Amino acid sequence: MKLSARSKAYMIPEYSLTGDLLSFLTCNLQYRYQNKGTLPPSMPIQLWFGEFIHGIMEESYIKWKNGKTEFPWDWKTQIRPIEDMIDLRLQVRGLYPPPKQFYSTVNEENVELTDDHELIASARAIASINIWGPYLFPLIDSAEVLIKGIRDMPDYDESKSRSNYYGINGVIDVLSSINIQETQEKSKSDNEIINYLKENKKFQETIFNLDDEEYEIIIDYKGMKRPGLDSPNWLHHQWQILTYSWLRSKQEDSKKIIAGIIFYLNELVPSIPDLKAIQKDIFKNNTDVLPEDKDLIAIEEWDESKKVPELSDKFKMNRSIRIINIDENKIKTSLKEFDDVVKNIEKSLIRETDGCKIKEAWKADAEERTCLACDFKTFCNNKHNQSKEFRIP
Amino acid sequence: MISNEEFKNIIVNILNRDISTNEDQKEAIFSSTDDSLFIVAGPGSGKTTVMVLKILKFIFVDDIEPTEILSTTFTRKAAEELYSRVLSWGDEIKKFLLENNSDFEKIVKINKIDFNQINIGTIDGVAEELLRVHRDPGTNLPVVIETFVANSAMIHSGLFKNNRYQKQELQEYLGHYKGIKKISNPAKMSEAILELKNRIYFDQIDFNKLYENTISIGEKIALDAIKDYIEDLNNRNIIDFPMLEAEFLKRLKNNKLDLFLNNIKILLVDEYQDTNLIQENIYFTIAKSALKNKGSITVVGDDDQSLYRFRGATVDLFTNFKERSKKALNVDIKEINLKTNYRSTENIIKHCNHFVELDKKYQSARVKEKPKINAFNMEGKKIPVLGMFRHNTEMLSKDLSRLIKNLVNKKEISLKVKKVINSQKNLSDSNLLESRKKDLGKSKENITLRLDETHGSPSDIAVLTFSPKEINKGKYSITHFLRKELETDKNPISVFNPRGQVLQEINYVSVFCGLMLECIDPESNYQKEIKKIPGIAKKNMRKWREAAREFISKSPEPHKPVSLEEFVKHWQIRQPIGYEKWPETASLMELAYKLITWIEVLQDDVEGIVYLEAITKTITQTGFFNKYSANIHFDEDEKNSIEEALWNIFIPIAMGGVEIDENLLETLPQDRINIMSIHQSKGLEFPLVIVDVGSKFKNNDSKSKYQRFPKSKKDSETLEDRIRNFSSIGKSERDNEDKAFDDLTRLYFVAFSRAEDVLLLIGLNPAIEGYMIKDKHKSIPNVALGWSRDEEFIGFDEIYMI
Repeated sequence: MKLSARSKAYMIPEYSLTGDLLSFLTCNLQYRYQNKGTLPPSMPIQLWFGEFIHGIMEESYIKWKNGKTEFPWDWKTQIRPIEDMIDLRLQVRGLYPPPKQFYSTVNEENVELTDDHELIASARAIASINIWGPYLFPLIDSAEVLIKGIRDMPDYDESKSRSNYYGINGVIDVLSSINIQETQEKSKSDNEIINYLKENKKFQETIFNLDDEEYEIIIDYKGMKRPGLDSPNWLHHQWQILTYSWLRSKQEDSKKIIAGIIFYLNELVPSIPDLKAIQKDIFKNNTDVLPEDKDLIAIEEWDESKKVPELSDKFKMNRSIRIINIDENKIKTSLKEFDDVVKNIEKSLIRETDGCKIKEAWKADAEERTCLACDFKTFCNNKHNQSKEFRIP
Repeated sequence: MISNEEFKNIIVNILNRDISTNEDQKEAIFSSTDDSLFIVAGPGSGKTTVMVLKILKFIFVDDIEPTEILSTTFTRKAAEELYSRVLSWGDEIKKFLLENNSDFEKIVKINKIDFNQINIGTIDGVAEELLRVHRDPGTNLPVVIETFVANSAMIHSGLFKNNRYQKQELQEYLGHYKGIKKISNPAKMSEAILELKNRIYFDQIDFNKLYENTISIGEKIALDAIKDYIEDLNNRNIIDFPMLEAEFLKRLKNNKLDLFLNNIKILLVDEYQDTNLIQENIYFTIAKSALKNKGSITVVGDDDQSLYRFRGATVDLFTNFKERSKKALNVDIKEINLKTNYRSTENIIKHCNHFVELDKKYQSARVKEKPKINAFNMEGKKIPVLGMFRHNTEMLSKDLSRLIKNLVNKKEISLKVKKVINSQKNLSDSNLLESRKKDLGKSKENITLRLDETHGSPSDIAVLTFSPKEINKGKYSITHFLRKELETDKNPISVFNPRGQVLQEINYVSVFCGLMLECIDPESNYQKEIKKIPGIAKKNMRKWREAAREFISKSPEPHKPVSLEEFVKHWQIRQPIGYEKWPETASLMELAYKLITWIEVLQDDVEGIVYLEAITKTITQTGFFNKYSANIHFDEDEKNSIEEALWNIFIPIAMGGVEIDENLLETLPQDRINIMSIHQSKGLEFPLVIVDVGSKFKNNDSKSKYQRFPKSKKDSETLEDRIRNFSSIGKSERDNEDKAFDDLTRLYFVAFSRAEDVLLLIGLNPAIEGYMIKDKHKSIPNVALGWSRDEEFIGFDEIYMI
């Protein structure tokens, strides 16, 4: 008698836009080890700060919503308790703060905090809350909205593909037009975010041509500087917002989504490497936000040996906020791009399942900057990493 | 939105699911929104299909909103599967309706259906999410830790405090409930104390009452450890899963989740046979609201497949569901039996029916008047249940692996039937042997088997056993021999047995851990200063270091820019490369990743990475209880930071406290034979299932009794009994021995019912024939081979011995 062939369990693979798709784009092999294989980075500076600042923004919004506490908030009494909570939440998951960036009290008892404990991550938390909070929080309609959807599996092949669909998800904050209008009326547009939207021609055009009475804007935060125009991140972040807007539009309670805003929160308190990169972008005309007057002079005159100069709040805000306009064609393009990313991830997975060695199934093709901070550089096949000095310890 | 009839047509024509002939399935799917159901779903009865279609019917026919549905399952994997099916079939139905509809309003409505809004998950996942979404403003959300972290927290906060783990009374107390003299391995002690703690939560025990009534010193120490553990977690705003369930119930009852409760209409619970008291309480609380909102509760399960009593589950909550819900919710529940099996051949189903009914005393533990399983007509599949019994384990594994190899190499194998044994009632021991030896004159025709030529693969074959461990107390088991036979052949066949080996004894894990130890603590200088290290940890760490030194001596690639020997030396004498001076601290994780440079299997092999993940998780996730968070300091703190790393990372691994995450093995090549415990096989099915019913039993010794015939002393008290003295659930009507027999019956029922086409039972000859001792014949009573608990051999209808 012939035995039947075993039928596979039906499972739609689920991808997070940032945790999977953008990570895969950064480096395929690093994605395999860190995201699929859950090997934690030894110095999770970027990962830790990204999660930290997201947590800070969400928790401070909830705190604001509850008490409508006036800004600015005091670090020690109002912001630090939020920081401690997020720090613990991350440590439980094995994400420890880089000691030079954040002073952790998870394992300390009765610490009397001084200004010396306010390291760069705290400084960014303070700036993010106190600079953007007063404008942003009153506009938010719902926070931490989980958006999910399914799409057809690209290049579906019944005998090989894991499933005929794939799932995609993300988490966003949503601004509603009602809040925007109310705020506008009440405060005569003292709201800087509304001012930025007003100055955005495309946005105004969209509003003008809008049939619907209500609309939405989606928000995401990034714990990084504003990417240069030639950086892949610049484009990827746009795709991300466009895809989020597609996912959001599928939800029952959604309204027409007409824009997305990304806040690059490192711009509010740039580190020395951030400022170096900002300076480079400016000199090479590789950015859409250029400094003027005093800010220009300060940046031009600065070099690594000096302290980070005082830059104007206006300039920092200009660089921190990025408005991304939404249109159907752009959404289609970005969905197609992410379909391709999923196709490539699935291809690598199938190669691995077919018995291919991991380093052969997943390409190591990151930019040199990524490799410098990567834990796997001493044994990966990327040409950046060959003949590199081996440091001990 | 659409009618029942339209929906039925879509199921048949669009989803290609023919439910028309199965009245039970139809009744279950098409019941109305306010019909509460008790669905008893036998193995392979299309339970998932019914649940998915039921959910979709509520949405498409009854206009129930996705957010008004809550559906829970037992494992994350089952939840993902259910969710995936709802998404894909939901999408197909949606597409069909959109294409075939002209009513604009309807189209808008259909278009807006978002299946992602259905709450599907494990009860813990659902609880965590609901607590997050509906938390009180201004409150700090507790952080939930994995069982893995809970274990190390118990070691840290409960056992090491006041050196409790060294207390004789505690070791003996914990051993008592495991039927052994004592437990002294802190990792195992921690597991046992967590079991006690979890039962206190699951059975909703008043901790203080239990504490006041404690008479044994050992129990008091255990409860003190639990107190400290809970206090430590509370101080850090952390909870574990049982604490999460308690918190969830508290909030449901305190009106903190009313937004959710006011909206809920449909509650659907799968695997209800493995529910515990606190979960029942949670479900009844939610059901109360669902009923108030004109909705219903439906539970699905099978008492014959209840396997988790050892984790606090109580099958009575399932078997008595109708009475219990009448009492708690005042609702009449309709019972539906999904009795048609679409998985197995008629012979296998006959075997399962016979097996589950042969022990009279088991019947009273089952759902009342439970019908037999019906076979779905499968033409041409008439292989009888097979048996392979040999003189010793080596011969058995040799013959079995030959069979597997031939099958995998795409040959049609012809199995010679040596004899057919059948059901023998009321035989005494002496004539049993004779009757077994006698060929019953049944067909001597050979049985032929082959895998599917195009889609068949080794993964069509599964070996199920009580325990898949390849080595236990120094003795090799059948799973070891089988792996050896299969993997060392000219055409090797890979074996998938993630629970077969213990992490700390895998060669490259030993090398890897040994290298780390050699780097941070050369010559074991700091390790030697710690007096309290348990012997087993010391022994394993010594072995690791030896393995590491041997590995270094082989001078593995690469030799440039630095060789492994140079690397380790530089670390040992703290001499930097690439830095001006040796830094004040170094991260253990960074050391770990650098050492992988020389261990290829940890870079390139799926299994290697899974083992690496278990180690790195131990390094990172246990760190937050500790001062140095997995960093080594080189100032005055050097000794303390290394000691901390030894206690929190290396000693737990060395003592077997660390397990791998099997979910990460999903990309392992499919061409492997599955070897797994019967528990692991729950919910799975394979074309050829090989069940080990007696590869360990050479005689009727008491040590193996718990695996085959769990006779116990009548007066022995289990942990379950001890705890239930203080629970509203009370003591069960069934005594411990009966419950142990029930468990074993269910276990082998699950094993046998995994088979689709062929079921092969394997064991040693004495398991069937008995054995001689001092000229007297003895037999080996064994539930899996058809013995009732009265020590009566009943046996099976027909087993064809090959």
